[in-house]
Amino acid sequence: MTTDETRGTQLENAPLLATPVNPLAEATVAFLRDSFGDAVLNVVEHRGEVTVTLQPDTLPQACQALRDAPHLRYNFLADITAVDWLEREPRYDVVYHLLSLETRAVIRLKAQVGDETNPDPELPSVMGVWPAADWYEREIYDLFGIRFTGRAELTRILMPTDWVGHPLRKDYPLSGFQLPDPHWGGQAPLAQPLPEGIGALTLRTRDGSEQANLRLPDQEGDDAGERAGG
Amino acid sequence: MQVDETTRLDVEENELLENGVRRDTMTVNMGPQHPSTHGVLRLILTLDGETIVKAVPDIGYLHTGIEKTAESKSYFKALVLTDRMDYLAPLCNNLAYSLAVEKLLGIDVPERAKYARIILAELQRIASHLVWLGSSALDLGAQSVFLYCFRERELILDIFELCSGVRMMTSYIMPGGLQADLPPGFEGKVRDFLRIFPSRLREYHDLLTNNRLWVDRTKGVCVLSAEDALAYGCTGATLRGSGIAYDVRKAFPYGGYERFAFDIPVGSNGDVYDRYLVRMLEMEQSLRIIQQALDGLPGGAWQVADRKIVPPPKYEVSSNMEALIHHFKLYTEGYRPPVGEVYVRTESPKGELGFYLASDGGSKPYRMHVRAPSFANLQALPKMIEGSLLADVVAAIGSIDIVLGEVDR
Repeated sequence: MTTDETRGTQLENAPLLATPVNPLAEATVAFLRDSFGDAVLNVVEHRGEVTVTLQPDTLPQACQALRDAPHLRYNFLADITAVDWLEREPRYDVVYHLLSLETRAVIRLKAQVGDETNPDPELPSVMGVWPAADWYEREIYDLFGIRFTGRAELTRILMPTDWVGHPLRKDYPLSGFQLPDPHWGGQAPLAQPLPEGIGALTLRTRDGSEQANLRLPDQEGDDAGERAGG
Repeated sequence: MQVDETTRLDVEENELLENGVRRDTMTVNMGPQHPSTHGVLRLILTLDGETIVKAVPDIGYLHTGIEKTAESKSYFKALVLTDRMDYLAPLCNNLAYSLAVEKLLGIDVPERAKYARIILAELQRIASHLVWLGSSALDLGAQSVFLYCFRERELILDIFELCSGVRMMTSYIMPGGLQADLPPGFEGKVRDFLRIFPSRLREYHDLLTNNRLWVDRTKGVCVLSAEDALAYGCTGATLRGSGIAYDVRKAFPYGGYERFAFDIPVGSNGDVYDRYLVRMLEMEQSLRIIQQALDGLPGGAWQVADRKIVPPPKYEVSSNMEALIHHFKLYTEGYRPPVGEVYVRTESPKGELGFYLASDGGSKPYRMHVRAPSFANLQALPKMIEGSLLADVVAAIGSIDIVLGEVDR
């Protein structure tokens, strides 16, 4: 097995894993090199999995081409995720796992974005190619703060809508930080301007007034914190 | 009830204006505390009468930050987090995670471990499908099915308890093999189950498959076309119910599945009934796999021999200095896979469960991402229910078999 001599554990008795060959990965790399030339920045193979690093701007076109190429037909977006390499420049890897249910081709695409001057980088969305990208991109925006452009509204999906910060970043504090005061746990306090997101559908009507069934008793001396928090 | 005169006048005016039908939409919350959302799912539904115009799932109520937590645990210790994602199929999560770590390390496990893992994963699939069957039938009013399903699920949980001492969060499958060898009596118990279960499965079929009420509530209801299922990244029975025969066990065999003969049930209409039938038939196929794996179960080692990956047995630790050092190193620091990244896909009871691990050469996963099947399947829910009746929403949620622990992670 290949080990990183400096850091990897030196294995003693373990049998080696046989990694199956993936002939269509080679065809995919050749196809991308032909069609996008300079946009292919890097190709790495590790444990039989091929990773192609692309220019972030060409990603939607490359995905479209891979989906429509007759000999590859990547018709299934399995997953999108991101990795924060804090000390590296560019800082984030955005990782796409593509699959073809027809040809059984598998490939991993990667776009690297973000630098020191731009902690909230942008990346074109692939939602137009696979609608499945919607929630994955929202998740990456929520947890990493990477913005996707050219798609429907990008809102938080797992964290509360009023959350500050992006928890899966490596510089996100693990302890000892203050929540915004008072913290409403995703419910917009009635007295404050409404954050963007789902709360708008239920807490207020379109003209901005509170919905009748959510209106709380308006009593003198009853402070907003107790009312909304109770 | 006191009727407000002004309100009544308004309604009457509307009726006059719009030919006796009041056209207006209404927004209601379904969940997060609704019993048939199978956890803490909230659906924001816009209704026109009883018809759903728009549905927006709101998730995150069970977000526990498992991916973040894993970054501060060693590979060895992050295993227990995986049980708690899809808590109805912890062994399948263990298996996927273990395969990913093993791929990162570049090691293979002994034959006995492979067979045992497949037996356990298939038992787990049946157990998970039983919870799905019971609870989704309960949602549509078939109460007795629920009790029967949980009766049979107990038989499976007893087998898990025999192996690991725990009924649910077993962590029994670990990177490098199994936590312990299969116990004496395991084979007998599984064979008992194989003998009992087919007749019980026929009972469920008798109760539901041709039941007029069940068919009326499920057939042609909440249809998801094959194109939509594919576009929204659905996997598992949700995809197969729509007519696409994609099962990771066949398409990309892992952990020894290529050795067993089994079929993939595929639906054609993409409605609730087809998804139901696909899972029912899948249980029969799981029985086939278990039977073959049990017949071929080899003896010998059930873990890799490498003491840097798996802990040494207790009797060695108390008598052998080197074993003590290995024990200490493994529990305090763990092993360091080489720099690199892997993605391993497996077929969990809900669909394609993928683990993406990125290693920086350290003893903790630099990044662990879980491609949760329920997350992707839930994304297609609005596509299924928009245009159908409010009462069919529970049928649709039941039919995609989500576990919110996995959706939110």
